[in-house]
Amino acid sequence: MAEYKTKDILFQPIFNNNPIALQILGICSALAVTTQVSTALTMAIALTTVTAFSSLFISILRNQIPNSIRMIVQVVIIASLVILVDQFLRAFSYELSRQLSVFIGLIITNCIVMGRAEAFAMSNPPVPAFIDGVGNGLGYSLILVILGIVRELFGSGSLLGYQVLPVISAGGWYQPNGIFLLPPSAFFLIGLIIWGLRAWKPQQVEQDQFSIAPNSRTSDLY
Amino acid sequence: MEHFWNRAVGGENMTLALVCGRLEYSDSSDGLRGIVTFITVGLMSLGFMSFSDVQL
Repeated sequence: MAEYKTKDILFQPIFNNNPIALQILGICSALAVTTQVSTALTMAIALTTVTAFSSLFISILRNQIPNSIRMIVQVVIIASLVILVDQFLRAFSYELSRQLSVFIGLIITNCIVMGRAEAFAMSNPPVPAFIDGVGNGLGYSLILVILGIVRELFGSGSLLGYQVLPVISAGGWYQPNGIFLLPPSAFFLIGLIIWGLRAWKPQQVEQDQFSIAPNSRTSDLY
Repeated sequence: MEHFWNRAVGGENMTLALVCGRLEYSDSSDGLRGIVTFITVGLMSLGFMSFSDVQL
């Protein structure tokens, strides 16, 4: 079995193998909860917790789980953790949990959690699996927080609820750009973030699905 | 209404496939290859939102 370095497991998913920017997973919640920094942060923390602990528990049980029902066992573990996080939020931060509504519950269906369970936790010991879960959670959090900051700043002129740019309706000078509060803006922003990331790290650029035949005039070999 | 949205979503998928098919042969910047779909989807969703009286 390949040996991984702890540092690599933790930091690879942040820039080199980001779950949103390279694997294009978890886009649904990234569009839905990033209109404010506070909801984006809460979602990021919730997902990081769930991914980390589900990887840990699945990795502890990995030799006991029968292969034919492994998905069901994984879903049971993930669902229990999601319910815990949901109840915790309802108990201690009811307003936030109302704003996030179903999206905390939908962490169950988030491909990042299931993907890490299948790809890493099922074949690695508990401690690296836990660190891998935290790392992927951090990669997701990074994109979510960037999106949240841009969308809240330009969409409503505030950050974490504090008014940074005084809006016209409150006697200031800033005309809020309403499109940043609509889901399409997240598509543009994620696209631009990925473009920036790929300009910085060209090895993430997708290869062409076709190549030009060597006997054609536009080919390099001609 | 249900029927209309089913058709709208189907239409959107097909239009997206058409746009992506054309973009395949465009000489887009290296970092945008594949990712240009995101921006296309964003623009198209704005277009479709305009059907339902979008409020900014």
